[in-house]
Amino acid sequence: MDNFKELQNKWQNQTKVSATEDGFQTLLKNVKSIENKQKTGNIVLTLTIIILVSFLIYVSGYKSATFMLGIGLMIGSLVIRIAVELFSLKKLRRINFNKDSSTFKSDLTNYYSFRKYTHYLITPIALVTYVIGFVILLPQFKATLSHGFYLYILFSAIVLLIIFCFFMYKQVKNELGKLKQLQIQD
Amino acid sequence: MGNKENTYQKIYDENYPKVMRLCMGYTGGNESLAKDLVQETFIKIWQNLDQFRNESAIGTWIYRICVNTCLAEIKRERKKDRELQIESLQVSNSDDISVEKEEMLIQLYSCINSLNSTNKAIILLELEGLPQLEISEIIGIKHEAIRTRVHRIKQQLTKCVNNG
Repeated sequence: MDNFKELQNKWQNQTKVSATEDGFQTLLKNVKSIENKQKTGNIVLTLTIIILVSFLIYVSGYKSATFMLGIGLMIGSLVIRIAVELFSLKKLRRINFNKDSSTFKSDLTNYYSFRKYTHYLITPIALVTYVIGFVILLPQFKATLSHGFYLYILFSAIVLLIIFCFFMYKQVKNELGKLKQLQIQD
Repeated sequence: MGNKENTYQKIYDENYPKVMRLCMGYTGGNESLAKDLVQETFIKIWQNLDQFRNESAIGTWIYRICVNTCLAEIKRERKKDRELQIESLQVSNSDDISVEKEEMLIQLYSCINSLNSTNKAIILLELEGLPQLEISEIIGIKHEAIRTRVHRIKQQLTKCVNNG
């Protein structure tokens, strides 16, 4: 195996890359920024849920059952989707990088398998429920809002839906790609 | 700087070159992807520093985090990036020995890249000169199995580099 020794020698003596003070300071800044972003993210998500639930309570006095059904479906699907995302994030953060790589790989594979159910089951159901809620509300919007504002709400909702679906598609493709790579037999 | 930050800087200074080499190996020699992985590895080290209990050597612990980070973050390398990387390596070296050395490294990177993720980690740790017992602790495969596997991958790799 002399040839391998030669390769090993070349490997260990390849152009040296040393740590720099600037590199460390940038890293430290990133570490702190990630910690701050996590705190901000949690605050934003909690506030979103509080606002959505408060809005639902606020409009619960509204007498129209159709309106309540539409808004309830929209907000309910959003809250459930956010809750599932928070649960996933918690599950991902719990994966221990200190473990040996076989255990880590198995934990990561389990996580992405769980995400597959989220993407193939929960997200489509939440999306369809949200759209049904919106469609139920449309006649009410048409009756109460000006024609221009009604069209604005209708088209902006369609555009937002397309953008959301595009980002979801990219996310699903990325995560399924990772799962596929993890499942490649050793 | 606090005590944790001092320890962190010491770890960073002492381990940056080996973490960088391992990440370069994982990304098939793509420096830009490797730098992202190095950054991610050191972020994970910071986040897990409080959990380090001296049960294993710090070097083993760092390699473990690095291998796991590469495993979690690895993205399919775009062909365009790879071509650009090779081109820049060829242009940047004018003397023949350097060019030959770089060509050999490119071939080595390419051969390592053809291995599956676990074999890739095993051979990169072997190239770093780690004892096989330590490799088995990092990968989570029995020592005996690692020994057999290292032997097989070494043959595969040497053959690939020589035939390249």
